[in-house]
Amino acid sequence: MTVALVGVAVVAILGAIAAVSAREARLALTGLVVALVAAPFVADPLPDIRVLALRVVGGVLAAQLLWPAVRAGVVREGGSLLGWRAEALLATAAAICGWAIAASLAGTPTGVDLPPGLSTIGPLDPAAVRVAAPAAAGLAILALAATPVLVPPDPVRLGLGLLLLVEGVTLLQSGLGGAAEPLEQLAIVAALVAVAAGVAALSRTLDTGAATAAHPISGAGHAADAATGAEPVTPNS
Amino acid sequence: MTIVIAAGIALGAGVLASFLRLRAPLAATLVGLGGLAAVAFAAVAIGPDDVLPFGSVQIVGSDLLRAIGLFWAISAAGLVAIDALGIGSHAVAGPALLGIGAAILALGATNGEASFAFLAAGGVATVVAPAAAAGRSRAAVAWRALRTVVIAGFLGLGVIAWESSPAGPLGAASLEPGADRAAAAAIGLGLIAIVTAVAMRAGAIPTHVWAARLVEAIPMAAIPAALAWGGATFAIVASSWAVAALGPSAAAIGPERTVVAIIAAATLLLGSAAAFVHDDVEHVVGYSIVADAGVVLLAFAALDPAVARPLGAWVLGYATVKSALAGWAAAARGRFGVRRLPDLRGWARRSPVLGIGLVLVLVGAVGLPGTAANAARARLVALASDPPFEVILLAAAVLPIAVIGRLLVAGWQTPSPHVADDPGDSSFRERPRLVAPALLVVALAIVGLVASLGVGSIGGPVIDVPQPSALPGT
Repeated sequence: MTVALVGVAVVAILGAIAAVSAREARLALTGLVVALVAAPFVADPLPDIRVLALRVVGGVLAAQLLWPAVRAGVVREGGSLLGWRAEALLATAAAICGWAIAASLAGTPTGVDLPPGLSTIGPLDPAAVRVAAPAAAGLAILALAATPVLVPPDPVRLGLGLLLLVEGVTLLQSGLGGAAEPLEQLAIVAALVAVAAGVAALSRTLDTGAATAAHPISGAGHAADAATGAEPVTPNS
Repeated sequence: MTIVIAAGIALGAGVLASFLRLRAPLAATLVGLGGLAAVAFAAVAIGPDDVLPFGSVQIVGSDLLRAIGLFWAISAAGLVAIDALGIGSHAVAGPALLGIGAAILALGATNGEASFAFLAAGGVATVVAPAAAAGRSRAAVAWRALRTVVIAGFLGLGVIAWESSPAGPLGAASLEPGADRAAAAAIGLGLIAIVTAVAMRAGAIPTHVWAARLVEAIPMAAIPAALAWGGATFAIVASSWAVAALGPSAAAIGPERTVVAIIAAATLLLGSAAAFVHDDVEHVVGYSIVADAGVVLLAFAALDPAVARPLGAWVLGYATVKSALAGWAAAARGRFGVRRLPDLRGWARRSPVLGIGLVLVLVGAVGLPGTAANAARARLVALASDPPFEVILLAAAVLPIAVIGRLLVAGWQTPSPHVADDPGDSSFRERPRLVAPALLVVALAIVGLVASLGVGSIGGPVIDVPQPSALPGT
């Protein structure tokens, strides 16, 4: 079970790396699907089968909602601003940090302050892996989500980043505080679908095949300003 | 069970109205109005005895939940009708219903993490859907808002998860000053983080830029759901958790609470100042809502269990009154076709009914002595500040007189060319559609006054704060 848990965590991280760094938008979306589907399985014990099914369906639905925007060409071809190697290294570093933090906490009895470096169990002990794997995956995915969320190259990649951010927070919470309650899982699926639907709706409005360079996110405010006087309001008078 | 019924109706009707808007806008508005009426009826039945187990978590009714569901639905129905009769964007009903549905679930859930996730989902709907409907140039602005709403929601979720996990500081129990500096610092950091999330979501200063852009991008009638009601429900959930989890350690985090009080005061004063100096009516409405969020932030500076009831009463009052203000702005925009105050000169001469509506909004915004909202604001200020500071904050309560008074003064000036062509309210029989939005504004303002008066006991939501435990599997 321990090996499987680590394996699924690695798959989720690899999916997230592909999602943020792939040059081709379809591959990025495929990576997102892999990350969103694998993430709920990074838990020991596994959640209820209905919760798993809900998360998987929610993840696939979220990616499906982004598909029309990708097909319409709203995405800037070019991948990550940092490049996949840098993203992979960033994810690896974050995963190691997450693993170390969670494993250290797992080896510290509650209410007891141990000197730094002392832990009752090793970092590869199955009890430590149980909490360290989701924490590592969560922190890695959060680190990967940072670039597209803070410096989004195009609308759909911002959406990818936001979906990964939601998934990363959920995984980190699962690692540090235990598996989420079913109601919270439902709420997380609602958030994933809402974000994807929002991105899809905005992309649909933004683009009907026009070049992406025409509507960079950084110039959004100016675009609205320019349009201020042209709002289609028809007075009744 | 009533909570789930109300939320189900809201979410179902919201999705249907959002889809219909693309192909049949009028049908979307009608479905939206029907859904809002049904939600209002369902919300009336919500009470503290309404408990639905969901695994180990519960969805619990409360007086505040009932009041928010009812008044939000009524206010939204008025705004939907004003928008449909005046501007005709038909993009208000769906987002409002989705926001109400998410807020009902969030306020009912006893699990704070679930509440924040629901609020993030609802926030996305109320912010993005109206912007997407407003056209390409407006949609571009919504990206920043989308990012802010999602980050705020999951920052709140992350703070709760961290603070209550073995990695967080809540295992240190109640702290006396100086007892455990590391744990106190971590709890203080938790307060700053949760206040940051609330400030981001409510558009408080200095995180107001997205909100200022958003009000330009979405229909006027959609602003209250995106900012006032959305931000207010977010603040209620965050405050419920903060008071329960961080409140016992309030004495140990004095400096952090002072920072929060300064942010609250800056939001209250600068928000009002910004509303006063702007000529664009949507900015006046937006900054007026932002200023009221400053009062909400005072609850986090107090961190006292006594803030729950005044916060609920204040939120209910200000969100409803600011909905009426947005209704006035939407009605004026739809009728005269302009958005800048110089172009709106003389509006009240042409439409005295609209003028009566704005006077009622002014009364609700300033607050009548003895009303629940007025007492709630005074109580929040008293709990969060000491005398010299308290006087300044209480004096800020009269700032809406300047903001809304400026709109009224412009209304009595010589009509601008845009307003001069208006046939006036006397043409009601020939052109009822012209005056109907003004009558709806009066109705919305009266609803705001009723909400400000207080609707009985307003108990807040219940959020379980899990006790620290060993990491799972250890």
